[in-house]
Amino acid sequence: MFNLIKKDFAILSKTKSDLLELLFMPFILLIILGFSLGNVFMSEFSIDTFKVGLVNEQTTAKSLDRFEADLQEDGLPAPAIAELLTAAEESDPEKALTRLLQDESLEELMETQNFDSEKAAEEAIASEEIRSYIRIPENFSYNAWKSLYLNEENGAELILNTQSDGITGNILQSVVNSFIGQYNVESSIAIATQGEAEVSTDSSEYGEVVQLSVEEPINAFQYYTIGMGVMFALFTAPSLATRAFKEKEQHVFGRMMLSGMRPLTYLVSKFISGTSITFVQLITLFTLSTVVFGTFADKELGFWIALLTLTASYALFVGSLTSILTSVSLYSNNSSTVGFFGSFVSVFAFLGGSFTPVDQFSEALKKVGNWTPNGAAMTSYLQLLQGFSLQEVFPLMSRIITLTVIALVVSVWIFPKRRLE
Amino acid sequence: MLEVKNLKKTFKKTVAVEDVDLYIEEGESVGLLGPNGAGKSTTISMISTLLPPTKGTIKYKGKDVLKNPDELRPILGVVPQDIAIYGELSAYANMKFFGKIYGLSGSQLEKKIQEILELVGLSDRQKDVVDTYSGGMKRRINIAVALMHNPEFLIMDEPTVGIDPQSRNYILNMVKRLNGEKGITILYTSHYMEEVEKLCDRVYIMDHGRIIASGTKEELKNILSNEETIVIEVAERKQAFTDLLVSQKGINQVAEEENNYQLIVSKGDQLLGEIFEQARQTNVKIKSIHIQTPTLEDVFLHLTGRKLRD
Repeated sequence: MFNLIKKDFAILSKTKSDLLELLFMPFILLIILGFSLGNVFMSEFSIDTFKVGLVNEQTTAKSLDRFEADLQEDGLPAPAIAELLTAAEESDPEKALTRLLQDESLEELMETQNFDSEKAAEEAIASEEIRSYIRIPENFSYNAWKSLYLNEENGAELILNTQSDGITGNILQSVVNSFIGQYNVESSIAIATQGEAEVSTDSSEYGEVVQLSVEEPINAFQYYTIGMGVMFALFTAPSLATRAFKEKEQHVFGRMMLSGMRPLTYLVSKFISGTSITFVQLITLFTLSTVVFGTFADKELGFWIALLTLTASYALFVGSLTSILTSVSLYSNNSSTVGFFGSFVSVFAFLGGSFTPVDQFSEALKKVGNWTPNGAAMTSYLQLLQGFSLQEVFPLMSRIITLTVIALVVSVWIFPKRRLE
Repeated sequence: MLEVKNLKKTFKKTVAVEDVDLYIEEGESVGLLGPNGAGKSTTISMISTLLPPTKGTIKYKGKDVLKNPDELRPILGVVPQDIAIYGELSAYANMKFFGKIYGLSGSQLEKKIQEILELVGLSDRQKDVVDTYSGGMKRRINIAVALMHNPEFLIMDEPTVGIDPQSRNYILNMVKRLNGEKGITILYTSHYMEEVEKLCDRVYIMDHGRIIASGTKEELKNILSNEETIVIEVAERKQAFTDLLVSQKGINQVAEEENNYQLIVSKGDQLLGEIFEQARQTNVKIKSIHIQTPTLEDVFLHLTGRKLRD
């Protein structure tokens, strides 16, 4: 087995056309596309810090006094009142929101500017100083406590006024929605467990949407390193399958079978060769791109581990594609299937987003693209670059793994074991 | 040693080989002679266990090799008609690869590579890439690879196709030595009659997928014991002259090639006078006439009405 794989590597290293296609072409295209489309990508993916107005009409002490008066009026015993007031102070929604808006994790995205009144904030919008503001009404915390602890009133109301219908408006909306959702859930849990589970005061826990909205921007070199990598990796499969067909045509395969080798050993060797060559091909491209353009230079060890894991799973898919194309060409005694697939690689690459981000496609085309193995790999790589963890990209990776298993099973099933014995 | 009975192979509706019976004794050199498309390569693909027959049996030392190919494969070396090696690699790398898949390693492998390279006369070019070799050198390395595991039985499928006379001679002498000195049993297919005559003890003649004659060279030539061959060289062949020769009583077969006519005639018939007269009538200028003893080529012409290279 090792000899067969070593032989495939040796032949590849001696075949200039294949080397050019599999190793140098993606790098050359990456240079061309990276330089020519660099600016387009930067403008599409980077978000400038934006200002958000905050109009706080509430005084917490007043709200607490009013809440205490209500509790006394309800005739609650003094210890219970003291306990509720402590809990209310600790779970003050106004404090939680102001803490969140000043949190470090949001600093890169937004800057909060305080306004004395709603009128002042409206004027700031009119003068385009800000595009959105959040108003905390006078009885915001009081209403929230009444609703949470006494099950009275209709709950607190938070007012968001935004003139932006773009990405900044969406981000702000997401931050507020996430805050409200998280606050409600945690407060409800705290009440249901009678204070044993406390409401979180850590602003970083208020919403994963906040985490999503600080995705790192992707530049053109990063995008096309991935795009060209996943596309040209697909060419490895027809290249090796064509060689396998040639081996049969020229009776080299027959020679191997006469040595006592089992046909399935040969098929497995093609799977391993396809996987190994693709892995080396992708890692070479990533390394070269990082050395020349600093593509992944600032990434941490965790990113590289995730990158290697994803690359390995995509390489396994290309290996299984190699084995299925080998099986089909040997079974049909015809290399046209391999040629047919080879001519479709560009279509797969387009659908998978190797040339243009799939965000620009229609929803239907986007879905199709993400179901192509190269598209799934591409999106996974991009998500890793944006700071997602390997666990988060696993659903997409699992598509690649599923397709790998299917391709392997089919290739073994159709491989002409009997005829070539 | 090897016995083939009633072998048949069909590809869809085309019958490629039918009713082939042959046997090979240990240490023999047997020829399978026939024109292109006669079914020789299909027959040896079946004998070498790479292509299952539609019908028939192949037994090696009494054991069915179709059911148990591993009975034959370890002692079998096959030289395919195609150059079945990796042109991108050197001769040395090819031999190392095939030696390893046959289980050779270390000093044993190295020793074997050098021994075979010496035998085929390629020691000094062993590190060169095969694609840079001449046709004759490629043929020699093609044979070398088949010898890496010391086969007792060597099947060679037209191993001299498309090479220069010098390389061809080298290969023929090498095959003779493999059979004579090393005792390797050889099944040699060719459409070159002179190769089979030089190398083989016994010959099977194939045409249209069937064995049409077999025996020692003498036995086959005895088929023509009552006939002889007249070869006429003319300045230019003419259809009218051909027609007259075909209709001439006593001429059994007429074959044409370039400026030659090859006639199989009944021994003792005095036909030269008639032939000269027919040439005069059709304005054909005869440059020379030879009367020769039959060759295997003549036997094939007699049996099929065609020349081997038609």
